[in-house]
Amino acid sequence: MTKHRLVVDGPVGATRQRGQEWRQRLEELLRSSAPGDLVEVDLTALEAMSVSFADELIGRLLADRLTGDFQDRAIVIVGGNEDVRETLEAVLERRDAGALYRDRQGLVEALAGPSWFRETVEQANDLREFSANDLALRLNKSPQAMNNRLKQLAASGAVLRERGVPKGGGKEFTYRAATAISGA
Amino acid sequence: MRTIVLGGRAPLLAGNPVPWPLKADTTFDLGDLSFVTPFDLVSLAVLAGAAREDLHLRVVPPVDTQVCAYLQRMDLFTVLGRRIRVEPDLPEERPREADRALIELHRLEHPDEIDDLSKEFWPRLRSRLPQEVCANLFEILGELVDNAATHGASAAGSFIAAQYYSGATSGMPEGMWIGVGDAGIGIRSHLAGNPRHSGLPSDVAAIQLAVQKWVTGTADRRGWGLVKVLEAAGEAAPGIVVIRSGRGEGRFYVGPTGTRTARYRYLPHRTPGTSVHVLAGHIRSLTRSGMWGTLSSYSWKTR
Repeated sequence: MTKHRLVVDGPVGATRQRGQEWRQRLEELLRSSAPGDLVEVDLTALEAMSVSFADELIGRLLADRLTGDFQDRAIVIVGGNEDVRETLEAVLERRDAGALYRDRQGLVEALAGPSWFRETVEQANDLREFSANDLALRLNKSPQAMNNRLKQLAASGAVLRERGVPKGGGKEFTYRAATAISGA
Repeated sequence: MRTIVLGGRAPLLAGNPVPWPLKADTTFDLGDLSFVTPFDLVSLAVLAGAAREDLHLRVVPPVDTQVCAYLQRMDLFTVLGRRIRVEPDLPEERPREADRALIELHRLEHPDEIDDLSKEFWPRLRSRLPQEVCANLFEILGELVDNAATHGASAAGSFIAAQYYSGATSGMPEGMWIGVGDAGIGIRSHLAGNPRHSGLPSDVAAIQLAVQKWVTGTADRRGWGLVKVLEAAGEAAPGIVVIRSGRGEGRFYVGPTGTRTARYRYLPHRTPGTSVHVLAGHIRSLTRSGMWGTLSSYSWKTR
């Protein structure tokens, strides 16, 4: 488990074109990382960020992850100032996506996402490593409902999904909270 | 040679666009110019930049030495460069105050040049202005130059300029005044790239549509650029946005609570590409009627 970091250049992320360039670097970093690794997107150098820049860098990345790309890598966005946080939150809300966000004081929170996102991330962080059934029991939800949530959680990077082989054979996914990875 | 007189206060923002395309050698007579906004600067730059290369363009500089010095300070003559001939000669430029709260006229070939320019301008602007004003400026510029590249790609590039007016000498509403212009295909043709928006009856209809959420000429899930510009213009205090594209114009009053009042009109002349003026307001006490009154007298009556 290795921690990687993409430091986005400041002081301003203004254009969709530049956001796309940073997303391509982020995707390269994800490709070069290994399953189980943590990738931090460091926005602390940014004093300001436009919606289009943020959407191209983070919004589209998370949308692509919904299709399964790099779901065995965790992602944490490391925050800049309040302006940057607000823009990021607005972009995530427009895409109905959530993300794991760490502020300058080191506090980690679930940002935006569906109404259940924050609570589910908190329980996942508490369990650290778990199966869908473990989390379903915690939240008193059906396994099917929990699988749907976990799909979005894995896309957000807040948990990473790993394929395991249960004793009885077949296939089973296990999950690990991004905050359980050293350095998150 | 044809002469186009651009005199008085903010002639291109306040009045109508000049006849376009230019069909003959042209003199832009700025002799009586008394006040110029970033929108006027970028509009003039677009005219010169997008004019047929075989046409000779001449500029008569302002008689008012302060106004002339301001045009020099904003790099108008530098950016227009060899494309124009200035007669009579310009006076020697005055020493520059390095920390003025402005962004000189720039020509961009690619939108993300604004990201790079922020390295130069952010420290300068932050030394004079609050964080939120500077953040707002670059968010607006980012969205507009992205738009300029998307529906405005042309050999002329796109142009930007900005200045913070306190209102003390200009008498104008306090805030960040921003101009972005391009000589591209315009909003209507851009939206026609999306089958849902093809066949729009006019440029005014295209502007009316373009300021709504999720309206885009691309196949992507986009369409927040102009919406965000309108939001940002009114974020701290009442603001104004003027969008000109083709033969259409939309003027928007935007309030801090998200209120929006729009006025549309058909222009007597086609404007090259799309030009946008933003006043991101910075006086909370200014009322909507006060803002409209100030800008109405400024925009359509004062010459």
